[in-house]
Amino acid sequence: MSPTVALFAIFFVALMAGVPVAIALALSSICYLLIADMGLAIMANQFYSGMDSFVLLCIPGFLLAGGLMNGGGITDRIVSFGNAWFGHIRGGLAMANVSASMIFAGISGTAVSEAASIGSVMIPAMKRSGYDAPFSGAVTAVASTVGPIIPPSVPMIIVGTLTGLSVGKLFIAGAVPGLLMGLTMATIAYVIACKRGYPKGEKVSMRERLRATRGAIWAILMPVLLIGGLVSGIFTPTEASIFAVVFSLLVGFFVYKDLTIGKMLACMAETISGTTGILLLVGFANVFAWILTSEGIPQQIAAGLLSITDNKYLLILLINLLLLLVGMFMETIAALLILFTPLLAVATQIGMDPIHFAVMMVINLVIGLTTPPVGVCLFVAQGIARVSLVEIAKAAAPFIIGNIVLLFFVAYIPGLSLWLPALFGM
Amino acid sequence: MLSSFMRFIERINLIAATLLLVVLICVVLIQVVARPLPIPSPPWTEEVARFLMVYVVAFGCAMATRHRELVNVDILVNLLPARPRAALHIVIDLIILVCTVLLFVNAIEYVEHTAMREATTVPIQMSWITTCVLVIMANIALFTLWNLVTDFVQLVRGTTAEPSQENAA
Repeated sequence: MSPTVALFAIFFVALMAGVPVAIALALSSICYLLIADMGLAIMANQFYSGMDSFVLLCIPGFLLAGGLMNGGGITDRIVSFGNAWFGHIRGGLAMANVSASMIFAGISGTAVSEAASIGSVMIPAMKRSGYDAPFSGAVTAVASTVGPIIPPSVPMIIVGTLTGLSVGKLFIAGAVPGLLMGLTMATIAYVIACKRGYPKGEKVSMRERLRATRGAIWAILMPVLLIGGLVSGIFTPTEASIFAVVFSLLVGFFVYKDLTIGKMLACMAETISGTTGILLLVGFANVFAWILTSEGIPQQIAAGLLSITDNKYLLILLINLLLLLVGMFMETIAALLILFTPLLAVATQIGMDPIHFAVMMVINLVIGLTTPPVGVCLFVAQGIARVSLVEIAKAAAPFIIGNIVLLFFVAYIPGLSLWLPALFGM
Repeated sequence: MLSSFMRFIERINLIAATLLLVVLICVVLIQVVARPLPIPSPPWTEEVARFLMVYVVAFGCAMATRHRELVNVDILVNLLPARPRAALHIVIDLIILVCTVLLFVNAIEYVEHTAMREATTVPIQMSWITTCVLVIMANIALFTLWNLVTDFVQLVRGTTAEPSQENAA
């Protein structure tokens, strides 16, 4: 068996057997290096180099900031804000759910934490108000996927680490597609709500709305401050993440006063665990990527795809179909670490801007968080809504189709991703 | 006895990682605060923050391994009944153990090589930093060994093993 065949075969078998992705990457790399008689000395070096990056410091920063904001009582206030403004519309709670996810996305860079935080408040409230449980869970799951698109975004940080692209620019490039994703989901929720006759709440007074807005203002301010700081060059993404931590601590302890030392320590423990999982993946993926590069695999994949067609639009379609398939089975960051560099080689050959390609690929892979068989956000929402996977997957289908349509808009209209960074002169 | 010892080790790791995370935040904060001030920014903050982060990961491995928080595709694992699931967990544990022990042994040479280099901005031998690779492998191996014992007990008893967890972006 050739070392390259062994590399891929062992990786996929280990992955499907449930071996942690980081260890599956390590195992396949070990087997490759042993079969190729290259020794394992290179592994520690590549593993350490992969983790030793200043940009990666954003990850604990944004994970901790999101956790602290949630622990500080922000979730209830964001939900109240959404209810106050959208609750009176038919299907208003579903729209409040989407708007809450969009605001939460400006604090947290991950979808799973959003699904758990917003879902724990919104799903029971929607069920009590007469919404179907599968629909309530599905809206929460799909809405949470704006988390990694609206800045800050952990997958964008990974792309920046892999390629050296500006993380600040990647963040800003995700803003418009993220807002469009939110609008798409709110529209679909509204149409379904009208069709099924879901309830609408009491219209609240302007004073109530302003009070709810005041409650959520710190959460709304956070992304504004982060984007403002990045665009104006006041701080780098890493510094922005630490600024977000300090901001969250101040808001949690002194403004909302819901944060306690115990909650803070629990958030730190979660951050450590989450960061460890991601960085181990990055370290071992760096070894795997080194092997791929030394074997010329990215070039071979590019040549293989280009041999099918050299039509730019068809190739974008092919890449997206491949990624949708991968996203159904593989977690976002793992898929990015393994596939981003090889596919970027194809994208650049057909004249795609790397920033545009990154936004497209991240949107594509986060759609996979809501598709069975491996849709982590779907699992989280399913657990809270207490419905079967089939029920929630059926309810999520219209939203997933909407997101796929949006994905193709983003894929074929570069301006949707590139306009905002250009506007800010990035 | 073994269980309380391992919990103690896990706690020590958590405390170390938490303290390092706090220091890391303070170090980057110094960088942010120093920038607008009319004094030169300290040159060491970026490098020290990176070093702190790799050690946060080194100590964080204990919890992540013990609670099976490393990202995995768990379709097959969760489809299995209790005994076969525990058996598969044992196979997975053994794979993790073999990989980490192999990498630990090979990383020793790498750490020794880096003893000849010094960090760019702080007077510290790089081997002190790259030792984090050894700590990572040792922690994963140690806590996988503990998981192995737990899984073996579950296999014998036929009780349900903890389903593996996924965390994702």
